[in-house]
Amino acid sequence: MSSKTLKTPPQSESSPLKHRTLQGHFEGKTLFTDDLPVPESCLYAAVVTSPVAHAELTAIVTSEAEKYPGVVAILTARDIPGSNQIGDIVQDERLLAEHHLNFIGKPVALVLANTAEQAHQAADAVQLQYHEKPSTLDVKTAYRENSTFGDERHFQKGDIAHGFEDAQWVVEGDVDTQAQEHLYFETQVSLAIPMDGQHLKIFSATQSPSAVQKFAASVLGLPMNAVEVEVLRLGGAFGGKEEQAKPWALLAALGAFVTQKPVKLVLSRHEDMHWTGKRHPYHSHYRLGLDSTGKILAYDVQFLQDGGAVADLSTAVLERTLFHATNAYAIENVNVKAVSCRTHHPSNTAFRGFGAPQAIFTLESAIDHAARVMGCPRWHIQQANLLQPGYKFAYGMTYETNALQQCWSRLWSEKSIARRMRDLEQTNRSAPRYRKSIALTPLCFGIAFTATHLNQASVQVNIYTDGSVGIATSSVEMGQGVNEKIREVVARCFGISFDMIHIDYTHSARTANMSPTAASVGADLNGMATLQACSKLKSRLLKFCSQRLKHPVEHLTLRAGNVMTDQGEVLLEWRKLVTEAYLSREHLCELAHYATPDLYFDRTREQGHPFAYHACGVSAIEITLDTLLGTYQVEHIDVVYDLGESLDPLVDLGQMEGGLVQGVGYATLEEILWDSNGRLITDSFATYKIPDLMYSPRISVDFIQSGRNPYGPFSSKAIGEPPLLLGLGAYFAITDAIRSHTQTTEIPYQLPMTPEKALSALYPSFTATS
Amino acid sequence: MTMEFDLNGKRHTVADTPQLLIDWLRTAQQQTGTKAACREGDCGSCQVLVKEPGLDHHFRAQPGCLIRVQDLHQCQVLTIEGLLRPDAKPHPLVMLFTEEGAGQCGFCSPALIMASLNWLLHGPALTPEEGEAWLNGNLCRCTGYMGQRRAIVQIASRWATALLASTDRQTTLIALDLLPPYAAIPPCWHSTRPTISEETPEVSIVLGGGTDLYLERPLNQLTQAVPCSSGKLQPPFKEHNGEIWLNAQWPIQALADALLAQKQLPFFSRFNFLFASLPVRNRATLGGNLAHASPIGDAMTLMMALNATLHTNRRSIPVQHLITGFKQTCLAAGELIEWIALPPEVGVSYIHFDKVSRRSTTDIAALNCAGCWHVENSRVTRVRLVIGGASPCPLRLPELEKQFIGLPPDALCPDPTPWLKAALSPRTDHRGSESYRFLLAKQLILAQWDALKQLTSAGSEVTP
Ligand SMILES: Cc1cc2nc3c(=O)[nH]c(=O)nc-3n(C[C@@H](O)[C@@H](O)[C@H](O)COP(=O)(O)OP(=O)(O)OC[C@H]3O[C@@H](n4cnc5c(N)ncnc54)[C@H](O)[C@@H]3O)c2cc1C
Ligand code: FES
Ligand code: FES
Repeated sequence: MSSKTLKTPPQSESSPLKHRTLQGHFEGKTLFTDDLPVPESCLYAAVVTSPVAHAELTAIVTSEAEKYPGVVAILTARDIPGSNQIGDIVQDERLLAEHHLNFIGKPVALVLANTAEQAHQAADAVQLQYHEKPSTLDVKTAYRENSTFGDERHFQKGDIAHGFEDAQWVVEGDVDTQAQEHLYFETQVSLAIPMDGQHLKIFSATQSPSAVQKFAASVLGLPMNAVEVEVLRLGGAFGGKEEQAKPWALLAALGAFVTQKPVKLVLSRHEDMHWTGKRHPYHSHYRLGLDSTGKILAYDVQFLQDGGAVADLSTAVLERTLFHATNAYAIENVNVKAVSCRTHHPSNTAFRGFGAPQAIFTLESAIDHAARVMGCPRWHIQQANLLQPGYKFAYGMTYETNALQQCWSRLWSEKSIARRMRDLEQTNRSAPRYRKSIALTPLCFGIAFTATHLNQASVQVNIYTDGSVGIATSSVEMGQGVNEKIREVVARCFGISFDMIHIDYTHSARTANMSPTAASVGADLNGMATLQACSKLKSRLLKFCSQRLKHPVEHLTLRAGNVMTDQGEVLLEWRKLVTEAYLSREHLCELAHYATPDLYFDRTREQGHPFAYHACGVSAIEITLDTLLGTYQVEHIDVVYDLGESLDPLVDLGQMEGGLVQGVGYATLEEILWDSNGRLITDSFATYKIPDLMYSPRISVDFIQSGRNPYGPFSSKAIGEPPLLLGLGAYFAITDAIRSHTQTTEIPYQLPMTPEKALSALYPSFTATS
Repeated sequence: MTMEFDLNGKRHTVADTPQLLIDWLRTAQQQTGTKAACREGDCGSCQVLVKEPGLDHHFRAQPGCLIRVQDLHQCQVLTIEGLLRPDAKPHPLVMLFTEEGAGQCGFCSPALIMASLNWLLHGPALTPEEGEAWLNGNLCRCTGYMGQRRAIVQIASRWATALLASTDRQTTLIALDLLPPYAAIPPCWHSTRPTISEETPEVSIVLGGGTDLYLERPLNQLTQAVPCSSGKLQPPFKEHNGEIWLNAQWPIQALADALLAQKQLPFFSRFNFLFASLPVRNRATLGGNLAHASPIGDAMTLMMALNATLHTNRRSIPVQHLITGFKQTCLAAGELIEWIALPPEVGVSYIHFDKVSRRSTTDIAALNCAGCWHVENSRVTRVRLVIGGASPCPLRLPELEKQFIGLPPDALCPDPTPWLKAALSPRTDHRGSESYRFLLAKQLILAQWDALKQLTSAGSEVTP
């Protein structure tokens, strides 16, 4: 197997040209939904939402608000012409509340006015009458009250009882992971425009254009073909616009349909933070049994997920938790239980990693616990249990490569981990104020939507008569670079330069029935479909060329903007080829559909082959802790990751670096706080802190290629979500440094490890009360 | 009354209606290159370059979400659109950031260009490390930070030499094609606007940078808040009978730059660095920070430790008498803090300012702490210790201070806990719990002692 290293992005001559989208970003020319010129007659929407976490709604009083200047209409559930039901996986969500207020931020009424300010002023004047009811705001209570979305699910392997019997060491404990706010820079936004009485166009910043289309149609009582959805691009999403862009798009659509005027709805930052869901908080309980060498013999774990008020994507997120319970380790006896619980928080939702971070942090915590009890370093247990080719996961799929071992050993050898660890320990022994430590995190992440049917995409490739190529994909560009990767696929197929290739905005009329752009598979699915479409067009064009030039088709290729012989002789310019093919009435467009092969999963047996492949990597995170003040700096992250063949090294590097920083933020800094009534306290950039440039570590990335990948175009592999998980080790690096200073301290396995928690752990015996 | 200012080299006259610059740009002007992710000064994505009357006569990057159009009378504003060249040749900074993959979704991207220009205009050393600090106010969720770091390295290596050698960076930047030629046009500063002292002061709201006011009150309640540019026409600081007088109306960053350039008050650099973010510091003033009387305001803590005296347009006030209650001051309507006088003693003291927040930079403190230490013959002879964030307003700790008198800096630090417990009354909020703040207060005092040890043992020269 080849192993290729890519340290810095290649500065290819074509890179400025290639990344002209990025250039547009820096020039401020890129159009986001909020940047679109609004039609003259546009109305602005403000949403009236529930101020309480749980109540029975008895009346919506709009009479005062209607008198406010500029108000055009105030709509409630009664004004919905079609269905008020918008839940996707489970039908438990209403667009506008009828009788039931189930979280703070539940939309109740839509105010339409001539300006956004007028709409908001009137919205404040709408009075809601309700009887408040007791609310459930934490996951353990919800579980006790049996308030769940579906039954507890159960993955099993081997004989857990037997495993524990043989174990020399058994550790048991609790883990809590917190909510994480997406904090995409562009807040939820949509603009709906009535095209004629029966037809509507929606610009929505969504990861799921087809879901917006489907539910807009059903809310308005229209067939799907009467609703057009267009997505320009997203100013960040990270999962937060997969399900949760929908309500705002539907409300704009409702307003536009009822008033027959364009309607724009933009959430303010505060509204967005209060009203939309976050990464699911989890409470989990583990039991881990090991033999004297550190080999894990048994792992028993239960995950309680805080799903929030409605099902949303929670059960799908939960499923990924189950799949990733054993992460990168070959454990023979496994028992995993997981259940999603209903609380009165805004429904928690997809967030980069999708249930895997909570699972992986739990197992890493258990390993950390065991290492402390056994008196060995954590990496020792990690290494002793690393996945081996041939290991069968609890869900029935076999781990086939040795990519993880490659990453692990490469990290140790190339990054001098052993020497650095020794040096740090030595320095720490002299009891300095600033202590350092390194933590490793191995990762094995399954690639595919776990809902098998979503693993499909169609792509339309149009070659225009001037030779330029336009592509309509089923994916949404949100900064993850899927469009750049698709352009690369087209450029390679047709042998033409990037400036001839344009990726259209995502549009429901150009490609139908799109899966959300999520699960890290946007480039895999759409890239493969693009490859298929391009291959068909290519062979059609070469056949045409072969007939015209009387040259055997097997000796023709498309390269450097020309048809060439395999000897490199230029026969015909691409543009001329296209023009001539058109005049000969060759079809220059192709729509291809790709469905990932080999995927299935049987939920009755919890067995199958849910993933196309596994993405693997290992990170080493080095931190410095100020033992006096409890503050720390995440200094450096080294990563080795199996990327396959990169379609765009600069994009992939950015995905890795960005995901790591988000993961470090999740592990250390980012904390959602609610008050006892379920009201969000950390509702702004001022109070919810994400890493800034100086907070962020230096990162050095080593991409390797462990083998061929038939599920990605040109053997490329997914990289969207995995990097975030590789940042989790920051927690353990900090707690290691704390323990080097204060051995006796009990540190709960709780994310995030804030400076406050670090200081309290450093000085556990300090009591404030005199 | 109408306002006049230049946007990207073009004169605009606008009516005096309350409107934020960011909204005016994006809606009235349809210039959507300037983005807004938070509208509260925290994300940096709305930065534009503003050249104000007075100050050092140069563009500085400021948050468009915290500036009213009215505040721009006679200013020049430069946005990302103003950098795009008619020949469509890409801007060199744009190319660098693009080549290094410094952006993903692109929402925060244009502001990075503005922040970089601000750095190139004002950064004293133009090293990559400095660049990081100067671009630190530009948050990126996606996050392109590593690409930004790579771009910063490139920027420094491409342009630092030329700019450091230049006596007029603006002209050099124009020559290097980094600023448009019209950036050189001097603004017309014939003061036609009333300033606060001329108007009926009783009804006026004193306006500094607006970085507190605009977040706390709706714009339409602030029609009486007029920018008083007169303070900015005065020098950033001056010496007066051995005292150093700081201009309370200069933006904090500009003041820090001026102090650094004159090698004055070395501790102020650290204070400046720990205060808010660069675009906010380019507007926020010390006067505003003090008058806002926040329990956690950084300037109050520092100035109390320094034993500063405030000079208003009416009288002198010892700084510790300014705050009379939670967010209340003794200032009368229209009373303006003009100067902050630091006693001569500051020049012969060891001064250390600390601040602990969740995120170590660009964040509000859980607690801050300032110490002004006087050491003679290797013994502490006098000290003023102030802690902010653990009481309704920053608190001096005289009883604790006594514990240090007579100690050599290399002695063990006395346990400050009993005195802190007697004096402080911290509360629990999202920045920290009561018990954390007690513990942290103790640790900050230990850190003061640690810092004093470093400062004295390094034999570091006492500030001039
Ligand atoms: C993103 C962000 C981050 C921040 N971070 C910090 C931080 O880290 N530390 C910190 O301490 N603060 C921080 N702040 C608050 C800080 O910016 C303000 O307190 C600032 O210093 C106020 O100055 P200003 O000139 O903008 O005041 P303004 O908002 O103009 O005015 C504030 C108050 O002071 C009065 N006032 C203004 N100038 C004078 C004067 N010369 N004389 C008398 N009264 C006056 C005004 O009438 C008003 O009541 C932050 C603010 C933001 C938006
Ligand atoms: S919009 Fe965030 S700083 Fe202005
Ligand atoms: S590129 Fe998306 S926020 Fe910076």
